[in-house]
Amino acid sequence: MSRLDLLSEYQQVQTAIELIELGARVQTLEDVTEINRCRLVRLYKEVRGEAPAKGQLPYSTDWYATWKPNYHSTLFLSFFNRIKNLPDITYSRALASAYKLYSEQVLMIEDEDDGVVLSFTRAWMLTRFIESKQLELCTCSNCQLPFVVLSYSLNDQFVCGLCAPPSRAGVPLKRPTAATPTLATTP
Amino acid sequence: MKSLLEEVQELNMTFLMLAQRLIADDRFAAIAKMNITDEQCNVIEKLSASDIIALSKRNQFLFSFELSGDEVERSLSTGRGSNSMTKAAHLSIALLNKEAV
Ligand SMILES: [Zn+2]
Repeated sequence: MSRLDLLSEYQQVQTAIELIELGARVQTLEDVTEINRCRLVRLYKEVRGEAPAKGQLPYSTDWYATWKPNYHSTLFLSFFNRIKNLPDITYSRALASAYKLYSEQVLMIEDEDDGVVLSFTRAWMLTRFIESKQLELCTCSNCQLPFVVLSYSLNDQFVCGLCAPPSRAGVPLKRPTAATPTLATTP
Repeated sequence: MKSLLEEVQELNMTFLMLAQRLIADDRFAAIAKMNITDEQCNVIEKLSASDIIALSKRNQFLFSFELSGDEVERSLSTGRGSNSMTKAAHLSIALLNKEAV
């Protein structure tokens, strides 16, 4: 094995350990690293002190479209998209850094009604759902920012959940203010 | 007492030194946090202590306020209270969608 191979393998194991600490399951690790399953299971046991949980990943795309999960998912994906194409970054590294950025920002706010809603597994699945085009980003007609939406949903004049929160969220429902004239008239 | 001018210089130095520590800790996360380009990241990473002093000694900020009035207004009117996650999310998403130049 060349020195470069050894270095890359070392980095992969380091990232895998980081991902396990962030809550990654073995299925995810198998998907985003080139380390074989046997080794991943051993690594998992060492880091967590217990055998990995078995079973299917139960998640569907609908969850990402519900109010609170939606802005959490969008926040994570915004971090992920910001870094995923940087030189020398790997998929696993981008996931680890983006998830850390996401959870660190959430924990910093200390909102009693809101916490780390998006698990690492769900964050990883979100990136895969975006890739397979089951979920996509749609620009809010009010704040002009891209939010996660179900693909093929009717997103004409889409308004994001932050500009128009549901009334049951304990936030008075505000009518989104119209986009500024300059934005509205831009072809 | 420190003059406002000295404080600007100090803030520039603090900014560059903190930037170097953030880059050493997690280069990719640092790029997102500071909204800088990969090239700017390389430049900051390589600055020596004397480079940092030379760059910081000025009456202008080395970094800029990136938010428009609309963005500040929108973020502050999202959610209730200063530690509202919705408020924080709206602002973070706005910052992350800005092109680094
Ligand atoms: Zn919006």
